[in-house]
Amino acid sequence: MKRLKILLYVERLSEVTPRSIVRLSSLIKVLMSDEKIELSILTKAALPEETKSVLSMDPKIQWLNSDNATSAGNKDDEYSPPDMSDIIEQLDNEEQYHIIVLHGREIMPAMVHKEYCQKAVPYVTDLVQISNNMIRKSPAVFVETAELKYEVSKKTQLSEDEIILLPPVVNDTSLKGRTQHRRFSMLYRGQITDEIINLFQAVKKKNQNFSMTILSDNLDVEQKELNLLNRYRKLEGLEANKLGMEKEIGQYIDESEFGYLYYPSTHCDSEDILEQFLEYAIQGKPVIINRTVQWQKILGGKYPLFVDDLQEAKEKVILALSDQGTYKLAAEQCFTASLAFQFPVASKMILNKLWKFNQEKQTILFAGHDFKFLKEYIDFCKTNHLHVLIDEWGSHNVHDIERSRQLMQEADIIFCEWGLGNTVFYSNHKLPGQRLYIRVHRQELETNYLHDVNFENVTNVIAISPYIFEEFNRLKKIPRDKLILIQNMVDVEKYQQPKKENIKYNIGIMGILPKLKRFDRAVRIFEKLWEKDKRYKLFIKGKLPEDLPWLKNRKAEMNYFTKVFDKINDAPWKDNLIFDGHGDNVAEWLTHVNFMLSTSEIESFHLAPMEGMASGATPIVFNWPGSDTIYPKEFIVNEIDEAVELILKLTDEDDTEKCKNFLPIVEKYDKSNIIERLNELILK
Amino acid sequence: MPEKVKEYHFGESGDIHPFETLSRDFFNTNNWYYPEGDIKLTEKNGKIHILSINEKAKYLTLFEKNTNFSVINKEEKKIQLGNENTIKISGTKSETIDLIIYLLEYDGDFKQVNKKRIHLNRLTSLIPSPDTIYCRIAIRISGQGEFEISNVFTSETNPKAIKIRKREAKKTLNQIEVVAIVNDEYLQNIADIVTIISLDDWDEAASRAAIPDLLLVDSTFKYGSSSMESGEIKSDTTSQKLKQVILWCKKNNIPTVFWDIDASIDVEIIREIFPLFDFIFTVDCELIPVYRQLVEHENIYQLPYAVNPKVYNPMRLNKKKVNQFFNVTLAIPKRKIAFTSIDKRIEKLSNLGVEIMRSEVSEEEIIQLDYPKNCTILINKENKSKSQSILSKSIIEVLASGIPIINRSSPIINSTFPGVVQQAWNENDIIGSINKLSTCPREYREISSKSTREIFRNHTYQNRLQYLLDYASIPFEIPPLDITLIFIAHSKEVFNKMIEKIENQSYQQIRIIALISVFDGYEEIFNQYNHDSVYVYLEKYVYENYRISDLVKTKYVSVLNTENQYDEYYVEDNVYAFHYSSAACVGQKDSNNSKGDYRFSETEFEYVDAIDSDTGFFEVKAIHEGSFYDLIHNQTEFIETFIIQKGQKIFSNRRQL
Repeated sequence: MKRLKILLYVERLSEVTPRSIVRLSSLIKVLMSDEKIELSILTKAALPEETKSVLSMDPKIQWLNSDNATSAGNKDDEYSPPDMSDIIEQLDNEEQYHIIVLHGREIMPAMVHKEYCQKAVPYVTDLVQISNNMIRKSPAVFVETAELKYEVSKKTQLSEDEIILLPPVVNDTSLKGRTQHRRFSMLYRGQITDEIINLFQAVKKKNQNFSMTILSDNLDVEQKELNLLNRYRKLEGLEANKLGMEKEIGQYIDESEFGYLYYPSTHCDSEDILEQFLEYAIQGKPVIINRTVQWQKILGGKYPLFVDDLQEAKEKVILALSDQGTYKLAAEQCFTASLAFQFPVASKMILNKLWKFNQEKQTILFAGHDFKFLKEYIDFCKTNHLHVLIDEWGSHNVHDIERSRQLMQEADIIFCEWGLGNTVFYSNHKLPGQRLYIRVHRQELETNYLHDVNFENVTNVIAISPYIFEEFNRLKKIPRDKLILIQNMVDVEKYQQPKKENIKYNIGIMGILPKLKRFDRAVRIFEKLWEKDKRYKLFIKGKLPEDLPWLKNRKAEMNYFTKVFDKINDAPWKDNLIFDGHGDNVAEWLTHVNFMLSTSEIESFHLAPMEGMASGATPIVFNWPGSDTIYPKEFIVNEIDEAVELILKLTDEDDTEKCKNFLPIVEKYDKSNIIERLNELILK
Repeated sequence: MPEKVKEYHFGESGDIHPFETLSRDFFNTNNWYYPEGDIKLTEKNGKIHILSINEKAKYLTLFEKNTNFSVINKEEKKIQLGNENTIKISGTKSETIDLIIYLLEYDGDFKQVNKKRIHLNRLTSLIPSPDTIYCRIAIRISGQGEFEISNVFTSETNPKAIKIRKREAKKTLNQIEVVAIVNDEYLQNIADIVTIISLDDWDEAASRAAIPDLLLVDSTFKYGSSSMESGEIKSDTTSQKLKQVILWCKKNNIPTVFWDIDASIDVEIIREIFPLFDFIFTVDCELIPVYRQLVEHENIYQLPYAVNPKVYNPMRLNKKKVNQFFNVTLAIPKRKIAFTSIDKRIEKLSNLGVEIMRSEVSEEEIIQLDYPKNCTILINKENKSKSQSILSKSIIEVLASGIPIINRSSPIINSTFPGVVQQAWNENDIIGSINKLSTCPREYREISSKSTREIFRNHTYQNRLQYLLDYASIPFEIPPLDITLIFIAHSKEVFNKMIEKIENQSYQQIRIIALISVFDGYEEIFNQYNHDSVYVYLEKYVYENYRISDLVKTKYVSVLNTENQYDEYYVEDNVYAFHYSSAACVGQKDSNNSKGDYRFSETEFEYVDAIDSDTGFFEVKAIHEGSFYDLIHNQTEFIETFIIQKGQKIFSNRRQL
């Protein structure tokens, strides 16, 4: 299985600012969310547990320090940057990391000439670090702010993708039902100033229900100020409270309708404002905010509560309070903007960039007893930058366990074709980080294997038709949210061969085993047609009963086929019934078929008529359950006489145009489309 | 003492004072004896304040003058202990003083047999010695400083902590067991929401070691007056029981909640039992600082009155009167006129249900007035101090019934119901609002619906209970009031349009079942949905293979017609109709007959014998055996089979405008 091995070197945790600690901790959380990433954190000295917990409590992290990384027993203070660089080099030689993240300044110059600097990613926290030559040589850089990203891009050749911005990351949440305001309250964090008081009073004049809460770092001073102001000005509805812990801020925000984040530009700490913004946005609360390039990028140019100055701020506050539509729009836009910072989206962005450091091919393991319907996709994977492994099972439940285990170790993706014993094995043994897909057809409905599948370990179950999708959900209780509909594929181009001459009366059937294929219906249809017109012929492609050992052992099956063949042998039309045998030359065989029969009692998809349609043959499909979800209704029949009438009618019509008419239907199932859909699902 | 807190006046004491009612004696400064040169003792704001003037050790004693603690004077008042007792003395002291509170036990010969220490601010259990009959309280103080006693709680019970079973999985709301010592009306209103254990049932519940989740006491409980019998003071047995229950809950870590619904409490209750409640709620926010001053309790909050939707709902709306009210106008005066003249101006409208809310009426009169039944508009012009801080019960009831309110001056009404009540700053505003509502029936209806909706969302007894449980950190599952909306789509465009319509609904607890056929792009819909709250099925397959109960797991279900328009509150208002009616089917009757006419029709908010097709909302339990095909395509016959023939009711809700 492809893994990403990362070493994170943290030079001096004690000197890292609180904001950087949070970002670093978020980065670690992102990395550990991917089960295929192995993370080691190297520090100079061993960290106590409570210090480690500031960064992460994940037990899968390997914590290293210079003492246990080397055999030297030096104390922390004695490890110089060159020493640490040597230690990193030694570790890399042993572990072959894909990425080495360097959080610290002193280490940079010490590793310039080391071989591992090709995979070293500096973690830049300030502008001073940017001047370091090392940055220019790095394959990528972590930065914490948009400003730093801009500066790095100016000073280096690194592309947008290579400068990885670590944004503030918030938990994912949903917005349901939270974009209407019920009160008229605003929250502001900062000092009590004349501007803020004026704004409050101006709004209060327009809306007497307006109230404002000021959250202050320095409440005692602000409160005195407020008390003084209260004597001379009418400030009912204005209160100041102390800035408390995060939970309290959340409560304040919950109790307000929107936030005031307009600050004169000279006093902006843009990251601080971004963090404040997110606190509001994830709760579905809009903000009054400066119109800047940064914020227009985040919120879009049409955000209704942008302001350029204090006067506009007053107007926008009044607007937000009076117009529910504007409020709702602003709240939704803020929430939408916050999505990029929510964990699933932010982590996906970061991980996608980091995985580029591992250029190894992904390995896909196909497991099952019969790959005839998957051959094209397997071939595609082989020729398209994937390492393909095949675990061919002897039958539904027979396999070489050791071989399966070995192959499983290497796989990133496991694809079980047919939901049989293979799915039980792999769903119960797969490794963390692997994705497991199962494709079901129809036969599995008659077995019990799926009852033993651990669906928690299954990424998706592919059903090849909508009817089958429903059947597997209803009868086998496959969770609906795991089921995906991707139909069988047809190599349309392969079947686009010119038809032979004089095939108007030629009917074909492909696959007559087992009994449920209802070969007797095909024979009867042909018989009735022949009685009308002796030119009709029936061509049969596929194996005969004696070709299948397991069929020979089933008495009911054999009795059925004996009866049918006895009838054929005694019939006057037997010479017009031609057995073409089994083989891969289906495309060529279809060139002399004009009508393709599907007489089965039950099918999941029945590829044969679709292949027929690709060749220009008209399908005649019995009404097996779900047939109308795949084949055009005009070619679906309920009984033998109906089939006969339809064939007679279509024979009389000039059907040379019809072969072109089938392409719009068939193209949907063309292998290029189906492969694309499989790739979208499996290779994301 | 703030005027809202009533002073308790204890009558003349007899010789024997039960330990149960000792708290009252504590706060009577005349009962204390102490060296006046060394101690100053005063009563301030309901608390006992003791100032120790010098460093030396001295004693304060309750009832007894003598400082020979080995005996008590048989002539003086005495405290009689119960078999098991609990005491908590709450207060604060300066760090510069040392304090020991003694409880001394005496036998029948008035001789000391035991001595115990009572720690400040700690609930202490006392089991007296076998010979003990009386006890005495003495406080030893040394050092200079202050000592304040704010509360004293005593009880002649000592409930034991029982072995608590591990809390099971989260309970549903109606499984939450509440020991409710509340008035009958409140009890009736919450009996459907949670499981009630009343005070009468307490002994039985305690004997089977049943562990309630919460103790809830309201202020209508008559915290007892003691009585005199043969020179002995007898404490009220009901109050004793209450204190026993409170103590039991404290010992067993059961959260305790007090809800002051009178906005006026005996100071005795405040002093003695407030400290034992984890949370205190009051309907009057102005009382919060008062209570905090008296008891130094951190958790005192406001909790307004509530309404029971089954009692107050739009069925009470007097539609005939409202329809008569429409098209009436009043002349607007040319200049602003004093507010007091409003009464005369709208007198002529009183027969049309325009009422001014009277403040100085008793509860019985309010019941007789029956605002919800007789009003078309209620004008609140109350400017008394009480209305500034209390949200009156009548207001909530009237709004629940869908009657618009014009509010003159109560800021609490404005801030609690922004955009719902009509705000008026002067008489012209009032008249303007009346005119607007009478000449624009559509607007009246919108406000009426908005009012009801607001109350059912946020001001029912269930809301209040959930609020209390959240504060007490008691986890519970809200009963799912979710609804499944079913629609049919034969194209991607129709599917997306329906999803958008449903997403625009105000009601959030929605699951969607979309029945689709095979159309261009259907695979994308199959694959994109089928998770969370949207499920896509093959239409024909569902008809052939599923009953309603197989796929619909919500409490309610309805079918949406892709051709119809639905306003934002369509689902929400119909779901609420289930709450207040007893119908199994809710819909609209004759909704198309009066298009453009916004007066209330006869069939609105009434039980009916049929509804228009495609408007039905159903309780799933009533129809779960039915087929999807009939529900969707033969709804009239479906209703006949599953609702009418089974004796269930059908309710016709408001028309969509």
